[in-house]
Amino acid sequence: MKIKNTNKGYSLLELLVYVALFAMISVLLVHSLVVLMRTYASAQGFRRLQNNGELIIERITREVRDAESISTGTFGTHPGTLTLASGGDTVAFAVSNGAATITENSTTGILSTSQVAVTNMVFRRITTPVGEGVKVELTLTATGGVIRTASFYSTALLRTQ
Amino acid sequence: MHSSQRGFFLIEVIIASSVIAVVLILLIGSIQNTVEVSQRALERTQASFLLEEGAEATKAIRDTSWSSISSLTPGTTYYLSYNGSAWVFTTTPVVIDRFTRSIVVTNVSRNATDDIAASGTTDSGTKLVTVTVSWSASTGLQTKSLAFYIANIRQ
Repeated sequence: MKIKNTNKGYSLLELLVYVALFAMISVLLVHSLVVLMRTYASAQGFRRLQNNGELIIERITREVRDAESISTGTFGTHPGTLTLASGGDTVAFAVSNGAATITENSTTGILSTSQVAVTNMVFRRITTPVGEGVKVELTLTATGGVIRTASFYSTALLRTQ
Repeated sequence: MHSSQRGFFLIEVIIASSVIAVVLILLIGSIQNTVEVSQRALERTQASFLLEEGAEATKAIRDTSWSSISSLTPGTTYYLSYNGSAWVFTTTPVVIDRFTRSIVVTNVSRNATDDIAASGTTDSGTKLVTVTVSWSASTGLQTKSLAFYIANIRQ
């Protein structure tokens, strides 16, 4: 009975201290949640740029190396196009509505994902006495949340020459 | 006795709050580190394509004229530049976005059995090419290198 009596109620000062601590922890918690969400969006942007850049450049350079000849293309300007011939087959690269596309014979597919826009894709034709090559410049912009851009550069020579 | 117990409760709450605060602050720090990691990974991918391009560009120069490679001074740093229609070597540093790509050519020696060796007769038709891409990141200067032999295919 006696114990209950002494523990009953808090002083105003105590209550103030508890409320202040609670407020401090809450602010810190909300802040860390905001940081977590912002960080996630930012890291995702970098990851998307990396994945898309890797996929598009790898595909273009591999097709160039395997091609027998360069049929046609728009060189030196954006949006660039490139058509490669190998045997009776053709492979063409282009930009359509901000997406990188690949057309194998008459079937068109999209190489980039929807959260990434191709803002620059330029092909440059290289001629050597023994064959040809292609220099490719690619700039991607990640649109979801934090806007980030990254450029990728590569050159590939035709192997079947 | 009872009043001292009440005092303990206040101290406990303060200690618990500070522990939570410290954990949250540390957590924020490590979360922000993940952005750094993704950015480093993207930069390494960009650098590896530049290295690959360095190797292909050197081959294009070799295909055009071997003398463009054999005339380079061994050990001197060169840079690759695209002049609008072909790749050429230059001594002026070329910065591509934040990346600098340099090229160093080294002489190759062959032994009595015509194998590449540390010493022997210098092979004028083969060179060791080292392409290096360097860029500054928040963690300091990063570099990535690629070394390969190139031969005069038309000799």
